[in-house]
This record gives sequence, structure tokens and C-alpha cells, in this order.
Amino acid sequence: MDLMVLPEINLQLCTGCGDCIKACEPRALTLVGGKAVLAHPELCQYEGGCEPACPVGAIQLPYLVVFAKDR
Amino acid sequence: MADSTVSALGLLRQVPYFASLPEHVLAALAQAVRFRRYARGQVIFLEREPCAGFFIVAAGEVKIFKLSPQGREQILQHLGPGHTFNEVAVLDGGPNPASASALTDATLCCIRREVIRQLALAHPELAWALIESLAQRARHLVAMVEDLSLRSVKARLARLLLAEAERASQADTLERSHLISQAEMAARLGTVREMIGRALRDLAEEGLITFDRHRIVIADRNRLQEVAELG
Repeated sequence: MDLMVLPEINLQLCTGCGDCIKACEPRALTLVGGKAVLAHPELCQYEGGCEPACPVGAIQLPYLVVFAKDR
Repeated sequence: MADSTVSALGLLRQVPYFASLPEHVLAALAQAVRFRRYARGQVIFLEREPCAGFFIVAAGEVKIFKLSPQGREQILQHLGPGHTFNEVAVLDGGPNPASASALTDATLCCIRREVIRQLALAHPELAWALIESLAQRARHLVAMVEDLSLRSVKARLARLLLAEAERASQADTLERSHLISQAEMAARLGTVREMIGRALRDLAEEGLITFDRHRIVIADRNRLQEVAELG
């Protein structure tokens, strides 16, 4: 699996409230032009705090589901 | 014979319930096919709009879904190459019963309702094939009603995780369409993201799954299967 998997932000839904940025401990997210942006993808630990923090469902963390043997 | 007719014939032969149609019926259908391309995320048609025609997926993936007035999505089906959709509106002439959009870049074949109707009247084999497709759709929807009404979110999720892992294990190359977010799980299972988050935590605490960054790893397949079957 060589796909680069990162959180997805729907900029049309994002209201720029900043709740996801407060929830992101590694500080991978920031606000740019009033929208949340994954400015530092290398810092993202996929902890999953940003997704439930977003009040409008603008952030999604896609997952790959695998059997342990296929890992 | 034009190239597009040749490729349409190849596609029609991929549709399971068209496989036994005589060549002249397939050829007549192939003549009526129109290819259309859609970008990932593009809406193909919306529910309640006039019948958009009969569709066959030639390449890519499509989702069929319903939206609540509050914008909550219920995904009815994911469809790949060789699958058909919108038979109900084509047969009863009513509006599209659900919406459809492209999950990936997709190429679809579309046949107008009137063309299907005339061909079905002329060729009983095609009419029977369409009845078979409707019967399959009814089976799928009955199974979905059973799932939504009789199984817990946790059991439905267990079944979905097993199916997704099976799909990923059979893929030659992994793409975005092999990934699934909690919101997408919720839309597939008729619930909300919060319930999915809770059920995933339960399964993790019981040691059935583990999280490895963007991977949900099924650590105990047998026990997860038991959860899926218990309901």
C-alpha cells in the first residue's frame, strides 16, 4: 500500500471556525484564508481528533481496512 | 460496425443477466448505447428528477444514495464495472427513485427509457433479463432492510469491515475508492459518524481490531465474524 493517506478537508464545507486546529495536538493543521489546511502533513499522526471536532463534517480521515496477515 | 458499438457489445456481455441474450438483441442494445464520462464526485442524476435512463457502469465506481432533508446520506449501493442501475424508473416511467454520483472517475453507458421499452416489447429475452435485474435489486433491498432493522450498528460495522478487508486484499492496486472514512461507513450503515466512532472503539477495546495510522487492522477475524453474525 503506497497510497499517501491523509485527512481530507472539504473547503466548501469548512467555516474556518478553527476547532480542528485546537484538536490537532501535532499542529499539522492551520488556517489559511479562513479555511483549515493540512499545512504540515508530515506532522499528522492520524490521531483522529480533528474529525469529531469539526461541527460541519468538513474533515474526513479515510482508512484502509486490512486483515492482519495482509498488513 | 463502429468501434463504440463493438466496445458497447463487450460491455453488455459483462452484465450478468444480459449474458444469455441472443446476439441480435445484444447488437440492438449496443446500437442504442451512449457513453458518458463523469469526474470523481460528479452527480449523475438526482432522485425525483424525470427518469434519466438505464445505466451500465463501463469503468470506475458509482454510488446510489438517498439524502434526508437534513442532508444525511444513506448509501444504497456501490456499483462497479458491469453493474446496472436505475431500472425501476426505466420500467415504471416514474422519477429516479434515488440519486447517483461517481465515486471515482467513471465511464457509463446510458440507454434511453423509450429505446429499452421498444426493445423489451420486441424481444421477450430482454424483458426477462430486466425482470431478473429487478429481482436482484429487490433481494439486495430486502437484505438491507433486514440489516437496518434487525442488526445492531456494531454487527453491521463488523460485516462492513470484513467486506472492505476482503475487497482490499483482492485489489491489484489500491486507490482512494478502497479507503473508507467513518462518515462513509455511517452513510453505508444507516447511522451517524458518532455511532461508528463508538462501535470502532468497542471493537478495538475487545481486541478485534487495531488502529495503525490510516489502517484498521482486523486482528481477530473469527471473532469479528461472530460479532457480524450475532446481530
